[in-house]
Amino acid sequence: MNVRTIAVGSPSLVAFLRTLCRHRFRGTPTMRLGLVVVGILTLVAVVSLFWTPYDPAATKVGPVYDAPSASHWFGTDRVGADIFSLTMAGTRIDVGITIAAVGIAFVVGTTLGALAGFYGGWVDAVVSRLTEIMQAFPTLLLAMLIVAAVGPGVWNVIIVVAIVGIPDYLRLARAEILSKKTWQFTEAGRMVGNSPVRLLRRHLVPNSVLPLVAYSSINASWVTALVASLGFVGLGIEPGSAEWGAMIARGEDSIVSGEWWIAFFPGLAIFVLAAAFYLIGDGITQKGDGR
Amino acid sequence: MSSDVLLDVQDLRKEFHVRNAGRTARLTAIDGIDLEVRRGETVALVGESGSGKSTVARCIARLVEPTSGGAWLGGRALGGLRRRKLSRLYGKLQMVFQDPNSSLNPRMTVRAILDEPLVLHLRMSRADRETRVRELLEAVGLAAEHLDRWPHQLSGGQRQRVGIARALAVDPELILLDEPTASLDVSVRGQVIELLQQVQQERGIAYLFITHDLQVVQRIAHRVVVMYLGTIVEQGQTEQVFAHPTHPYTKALLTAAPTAEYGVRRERFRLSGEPPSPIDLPAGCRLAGRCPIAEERCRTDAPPLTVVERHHLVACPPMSGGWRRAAPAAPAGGPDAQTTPRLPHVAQEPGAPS
Repeated sequence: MNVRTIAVGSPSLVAFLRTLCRHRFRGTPTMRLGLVVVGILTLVAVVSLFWTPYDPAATKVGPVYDAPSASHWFGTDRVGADIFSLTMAGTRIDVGITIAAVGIAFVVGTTLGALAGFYGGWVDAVVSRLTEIMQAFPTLLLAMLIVAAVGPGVWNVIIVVAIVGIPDYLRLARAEILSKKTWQFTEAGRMVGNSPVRLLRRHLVPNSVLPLVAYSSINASWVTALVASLGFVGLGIEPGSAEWGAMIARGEDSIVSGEWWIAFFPGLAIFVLAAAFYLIGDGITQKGDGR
Repeated sequence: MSSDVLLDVQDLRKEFHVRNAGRTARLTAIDGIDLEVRRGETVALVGESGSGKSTVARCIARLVEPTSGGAWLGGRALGGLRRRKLSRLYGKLQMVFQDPNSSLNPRMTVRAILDEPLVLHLRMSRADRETRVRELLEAVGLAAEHLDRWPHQLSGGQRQRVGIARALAVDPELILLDEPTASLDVSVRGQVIELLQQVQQERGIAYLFITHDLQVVQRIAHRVVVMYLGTIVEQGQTEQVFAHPTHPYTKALLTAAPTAEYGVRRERFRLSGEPPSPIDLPAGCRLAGRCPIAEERCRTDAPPLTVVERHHLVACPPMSGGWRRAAPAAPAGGPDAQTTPRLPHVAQEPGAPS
């Protein structure tokens, strides 16, 4: 069913959008759950810019080591800062870094992979060798090395996480383009006068992008964990920030002494975000392509 | 060159390098063929799978680069064209592909598919394109309601009609038809053939029709060229070839096809064995190992195409008057053989870009 036929039967814009959502974005139930969770967390990230229950940077907004209660939902830490406010503030760091890094890796990796697959020859050789070199290193180790070298900062983390993610997108895009390159519509596209760049953009990439979108979502769950890992080991984000991994690191010692909530809630947030991304990717994979 | 020759293929050769058990082997897909298509004419190129017939079309369309030899379209060399000029060539030469399921971009509507050549080749205005797209659709027997359909919403026959409309969009002089009916239902096949004939009558387009469907050949083709393992073994006007198939391979091909007449048993001309691999081809005639009338010399010398009748050429000396008549001194036979003088290699053709 295409958009136009739906539009004909829909009196208002709201009804039109509703039908559009129902028909075009109908996924598996788990995929919708993932979308809702990511949506809520993104909303929380935006809200945290303007409002949090307490100032996340302030100390002594309550008693130290206070267990979760009505006034401090996630409890307080050893300096009396509100964990709920901190977790909220961390949302924009973790969600923001994850989405930005995945976006950059997606665009750069897909572009390079498409070019390598399409042109072959030395372009392919250079690009493929470079990815192989990068993939020879364990990803976390490579990310830690580069972050340690370039120093802390949100943008540094975004770029480093994006760079270590590029090879996977590149290989996937390269393989997709390579398989579509011999399809007859590609040859037909050449014969109706498409330039190579236009052929890639209009014919090959649109037909290769779905597995990449599915992968990017699954990859996002993994990137969430990578960002938190970097924060946990104290690389990347400034120490003492509200980044979830860094918060776990600060609360780690208190788990044995009974103050589990300091590390638990940021950890739960990481889990929820990673799982939500994974469910979306899984849903896209399962749904496949209708046409 | 006579002026009504539209497509002139000369000594076209295509070799692929394949890796076979660790060493690189040379696979000869086309072994130096000559071919002509006149304006408004349908030439059928027939042969079994692997005979190189599709590769011929793909070499002409420059979807693959020929190893040597070349093709001329209306006197212009197709070889050695850079991209800009190649794109201009596609304004005169189009192709209809075998599989309509994969020759249409699944992410473009019929409108977008037909619009594209108009934008890229003809640079028409938006309003003109809309009119033209509707005309094209009508010309291939589809309605305006199909404009906004996606390929997956069309039947196989409808898809192939869209493929034909796309080829017609730029008003080409020659369309290469690469088994356009092979993947269609028999019921739809006839309609598509009818459409192709009708289009040819209306627009005077020449077809190079690649197929293994002999019934279709008999119906649509003016001339037939039979290929076996990269070489032309027989060519002539359709009636000649069907009435007097001369080459043993053609005979086998024609008598192997079932006839519509019930109860009529034809004497089948049978070949033994399988065709040899196109890697490391045998010397001499490619059919020699399977041929019941092969002579000693067939195994050592390549049989030249010899005229057996006006317009009718056969590459089989035992059938066409013996080796002496087919001696290389008179390569293409008598005065009625190809009248085209040999042209020099692609690069020296005056029409070729410097």
